Amino acid sequence: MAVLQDELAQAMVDLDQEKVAELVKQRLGAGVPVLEIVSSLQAGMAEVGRMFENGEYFLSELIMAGEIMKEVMVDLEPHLAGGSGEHRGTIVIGTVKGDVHDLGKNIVVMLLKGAGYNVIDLGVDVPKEKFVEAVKEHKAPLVGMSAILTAALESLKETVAAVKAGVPEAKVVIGGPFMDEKVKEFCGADFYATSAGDGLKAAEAVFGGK
Amino acid sequence: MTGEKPTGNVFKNLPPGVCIPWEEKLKDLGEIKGDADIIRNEWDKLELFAYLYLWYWVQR
Amino acid sequence: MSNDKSKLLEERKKRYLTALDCGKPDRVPIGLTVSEFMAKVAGFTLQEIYYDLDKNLKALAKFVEEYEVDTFFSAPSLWWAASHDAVGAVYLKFAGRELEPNTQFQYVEGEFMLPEDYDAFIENPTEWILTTYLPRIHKEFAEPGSYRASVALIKGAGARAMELQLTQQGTAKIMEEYGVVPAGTGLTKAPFDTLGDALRGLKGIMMDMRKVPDKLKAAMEVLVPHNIFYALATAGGDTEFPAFMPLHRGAYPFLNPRQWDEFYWPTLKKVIEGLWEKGKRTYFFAEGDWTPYLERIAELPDKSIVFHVDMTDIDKAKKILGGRFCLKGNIPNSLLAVGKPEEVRDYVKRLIDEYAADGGFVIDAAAVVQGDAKEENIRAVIETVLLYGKY
Ligand code: B12
Repeated sequence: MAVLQDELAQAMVDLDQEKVAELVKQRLGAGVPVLEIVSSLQAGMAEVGRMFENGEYFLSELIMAGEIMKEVMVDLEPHLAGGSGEHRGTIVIGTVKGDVHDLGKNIVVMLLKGAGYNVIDLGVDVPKEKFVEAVKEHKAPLVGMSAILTAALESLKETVAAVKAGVPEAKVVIGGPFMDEKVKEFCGADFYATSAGDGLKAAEAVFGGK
Repeated sequence: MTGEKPTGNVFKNLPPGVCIPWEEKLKDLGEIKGDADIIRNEWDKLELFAYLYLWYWVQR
Repeated sequence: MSNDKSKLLEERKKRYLTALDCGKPDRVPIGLTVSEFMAKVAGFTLQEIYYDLDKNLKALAKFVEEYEVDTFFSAPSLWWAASHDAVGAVYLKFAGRELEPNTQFQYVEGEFMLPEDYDAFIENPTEWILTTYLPRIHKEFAEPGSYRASVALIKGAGARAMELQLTQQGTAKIMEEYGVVPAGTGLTKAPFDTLGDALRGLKGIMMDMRKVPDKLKAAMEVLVPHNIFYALATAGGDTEFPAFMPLHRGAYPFLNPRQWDEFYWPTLKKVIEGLWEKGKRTYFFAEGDWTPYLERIAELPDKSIVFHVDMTDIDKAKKILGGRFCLKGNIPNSLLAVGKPEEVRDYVKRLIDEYAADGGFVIDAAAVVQGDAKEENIRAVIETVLLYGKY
């Protein structure tokens, strides 16, 4: 595992809940801009996500990291009014209607946020209309759709079609364990992903590499 | 989520299949005039049903 | 039972049980684990299946009538939605109630057991379920002793009794009229899953491993005899067929290897060994990928499980478990949904040639077959086995 320069990011990677809470408090007290603190945390989360993709970390570590993040964000969010400014691009993401699995999708969200994207997470069991609305509202060039149940395949296909009809220029990446070239064609999507890393690649293809 | 505090148990360490131990029931049955085994066998069947009903909600 | 049906039943039983014992029957058994697919075959909506017990069983009958399988898994719906409505269940959403009539039911995951419940649970789980857990998960039972709660308890228990009786009659009829045998009898779980699925929830149990590891372990130890007992009791004492055990949180990548060894495996192993001592095999329904744990699973007594291959590397499963444990699986569900019958045929033929050749193999899909599978693809599976599966 890489050791991060930033102590706070590293505490996140070590899943050291107390240390994270302490450092956040310290930095807030010392007048460090909230955005800077959040970006340290996200750098930590991105490393956690990377370690998951590499097989060094497991869901158990991801969930722990998510909990730590949630807890400190309670204190940080009030200071965050007015959006986070700079980002690499906006991505709308959600689990399609009929499917409530979200563990995989949440990892993707974490990794994309860590990589500097503005991610609009619509949650689970999301109707196609809601996807279209969100893509329009946020002018998102990329949409990520998660489907874990093969029974949600029809729904996935319909959702891709609805987004393509509503916002023809939007690109769609579908993600889940059973995605492949065939499923991608069946649904009319632009990319498919069987890991969060594939999702990052799709984002880089759309928004350009670093 | 109502989240009340656990209310505490009347019984401890009951084996699987049992909600109210037969020994406990015997106390309020008092003297049994006929064949205790007949009574116990049928008691046990309904004990098993109650037990399976409760655990059904946990093993789903 | 007509003579030829009872002959067929015996034939299929022998075929299936021989494979479970790692032997070579007359041909590779077909044991498709189908659920909502049967509703499609029978022309029922999912709401009908979830709510109408009679239609639920009819769908199963229709499926085994039209498809030549050796074993059946269960009726398409494992739930009788009405019984959950009667008690006001908060952890499920059903088609036709808050969902469109033809959609998959949904789980609402929650932390229905709190960390502070561990002591009472460990002391007497049966009592804790009634006094603390049910009032939380059953809205109608929120105030035990009240009028509504009492009615809910009467209905809930009555519904269970009705459901059990109808299901028993229904499945007996399937055996008699169609000569198809059950893939398993009885149900149980890994102690870690009992806690992680319905009680503490995924997040809760992940936290417990770090924050209250000793209580978690003590609770799992308490569960071992209950989970053994539950399998046998729900099987009505049958030990001929394996007990169904859906395995969830032990799949890769849920736990890190240290957690798996420390928390998941020890009590799961005890349940399986305890059942095996009583002559009951476990249907190890390994959802997802279990490749990293095959060596540990191989510690189990020979033949004590049927290992279901979903996303587990089937070559490794064959190498590490083959010969000692029957394997079952692993036609990808996406292939059944979007593939062509020729592709399905090739896949099944390869399974037969490469993994079933020396016996101890049952053909099945990788995961539960839902409404997305194409009927012609399920037919292709069966035709291929009938054609190429003879030993
Ligand atoms: C956890 C789980 C549940 C939980 C979900 C909790 C939650 N909050 O997500 C609960 C209990 C609610 C559940 C319910 C059901 N489940 Co379930 N569940 C699983 C389980 C065990 C793990 C799934 C998981 O989270 N994997 C871990 C994550 C990290 O992996 P992942 O989802 O694949 O995500 C990765 C990639 O796919 C990709 N990715 C995913 N989405 C996206 C999106 C984008 C944009 C990108 C770029 C990438 C990407 O990146 C992720 C990270 O690497 C699987 C079996 C298994 N072990 O796989 C069954 C499984 C998925 N469930 C299944 C079923 C059938 C159900 C139920 C119908 C109930 C049942 N009969 O068992 C219900 C359906 C409810 C509904 N309507 O959705 C089946 C599906 C079968 C099929 N034919 O498709 C499976 C395969 C089990 C099986 N073998 O039968 N389930």
